[in-house]
Amino acid sequence: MTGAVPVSLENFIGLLKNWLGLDVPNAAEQGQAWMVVEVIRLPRTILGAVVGSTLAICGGAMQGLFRNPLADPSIIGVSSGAALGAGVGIVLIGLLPAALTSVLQVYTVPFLAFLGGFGATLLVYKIGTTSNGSSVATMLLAGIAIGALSGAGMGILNYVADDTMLRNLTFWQMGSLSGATWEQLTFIVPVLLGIQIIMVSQAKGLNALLLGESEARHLGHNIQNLKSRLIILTALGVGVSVSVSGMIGFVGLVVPHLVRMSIGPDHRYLLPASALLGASLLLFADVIARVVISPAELPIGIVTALLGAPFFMSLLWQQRNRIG
Amino acid sequence: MEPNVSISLDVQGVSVRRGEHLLLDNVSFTAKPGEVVALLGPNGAGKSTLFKVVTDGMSADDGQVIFNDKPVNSWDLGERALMLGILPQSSSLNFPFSVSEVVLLGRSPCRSSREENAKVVEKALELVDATHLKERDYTTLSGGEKQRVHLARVLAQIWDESGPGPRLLLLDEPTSALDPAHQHQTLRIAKEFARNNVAVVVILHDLNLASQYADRLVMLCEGKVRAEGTSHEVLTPELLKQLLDIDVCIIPHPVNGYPLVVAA
Repeated sequence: MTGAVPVSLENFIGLLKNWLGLDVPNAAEQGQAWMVVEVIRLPRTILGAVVGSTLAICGGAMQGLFRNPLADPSIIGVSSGAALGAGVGIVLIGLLPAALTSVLQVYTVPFLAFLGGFGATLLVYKIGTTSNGSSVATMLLAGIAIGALSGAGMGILNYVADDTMLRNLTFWQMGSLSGATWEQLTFIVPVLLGIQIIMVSQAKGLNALLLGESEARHLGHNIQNLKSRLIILTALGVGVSVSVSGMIGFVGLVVPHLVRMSIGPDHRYLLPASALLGASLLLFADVIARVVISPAELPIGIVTALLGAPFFMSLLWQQRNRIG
Repeated sequence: MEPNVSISLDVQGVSVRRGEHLLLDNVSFTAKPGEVVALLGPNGAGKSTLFKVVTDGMSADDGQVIFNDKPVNSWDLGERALMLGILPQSSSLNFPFSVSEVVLLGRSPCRSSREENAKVVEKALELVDATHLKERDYTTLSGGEKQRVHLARVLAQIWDESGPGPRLLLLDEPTSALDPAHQHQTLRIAKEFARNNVAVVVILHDLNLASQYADRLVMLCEGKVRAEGTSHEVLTPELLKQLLDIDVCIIPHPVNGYPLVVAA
């Protein structure tokens, strides 16, 4: 429990006692520390856990769907679409009079980010789907095209943005958990946990899908339904996650990969284990983000990449003979 | 409706058009439980297209495929998976499952217990001579070993009669990556399954393997069935010259008497 305001273990135990209705002798003195935990740090921790686990599960599912261990949720355009949506939100708000800004920013940017992410994914899915079913290869290429298009859109936004907007744009793309509020969590936690549970229930189908699409059908799976479900769940999960926390890279790619390296590719274990590791990684990264330059904060996306990339590289280094 | 046990797979006048080309032209053939049918023909004859139509990856422009008294597409996928085992030519699996996990995937449609599944996996691996590979990472296997593991997976899928009708085993060039000993082993397995009331359809290039193991040969050429019958009826020098453009002599096998094809 470290950060801009010091909260001691004693404070924390005091708070727990207070919650349990026990008597705490110096309650008044501890009030400020308690408030920091209750209002800022606890929601932030919960947000980190659900976002981390959702990103990791969605990454695992996309790697399975695309039968490629290097896929991540951004492959279906959801991240680039969300970035564009958020960018539009940030710039539009910046153009409005300052009085309106603070009220609007809280809701508009997440909403547009979600809309952008979900819309981009639907477009990718539509392009990749014909009456004969969805082609994973076409979706992949469409995802790349959408990525390029959003990149151009972001370029335009950067060009027209003033200094404040630019700063907001940049920070959004590096992710942060600092916006967490209880109000937000009551909506987000059930949605993301629901998505995770449905995702895990698709594990058998994902396993069969690794053999190939027709093989999965021969094993009795309706793969068209399965593919649609995986895409929509990922678009929802990642869309909601980035809308509240900005872009947090690397979790969706690295976490399922690490889990697969240690416990194998069976999705019945891979998805829940990825959720746990994703949540842990993001919480750990958040602690680092708050501590290293305290009282200021590093954007969490930088920390996840700084932590994840070298670890990933060292694993690749160790296992490069096995990968071949 | 009582399933008609006499015919498991009934391909009825199937045609497939792609633009100007007729990939399949009014193809009909049947497979009954208990027999091994070999599908032969030169490259581009339409064997794989036919395979795709039968396995429901592709829709026919004309005709239909009846599997156990119902159009093959109208079966419930889960029910069908209990009766229809399909071995594709090659697999795109590139995730590091262990060999026994791959074979266990074949049991996923079955409603049997974990112990029972483990037993079937053991037996299937033993049958294809891959028990020693059990714990190996699938991605490190050779092409022939992979092919045998997938055969074991498909055999495990239809190991026992648990579906609403008789079983059908479709093998697309199951011997293409195998050494001679395992080629014979694979076809002996097909024969053994046929004896257990399974209909087996196998795409082959090796005429002598077909002659030795198949009860009936179906020769496909330019999208049409050009010959159908026992090996004695289909493997004649005239027909092979005409359909495959090879000059051959046919001699009887010195021990078993089935026709052997040797280049002239």
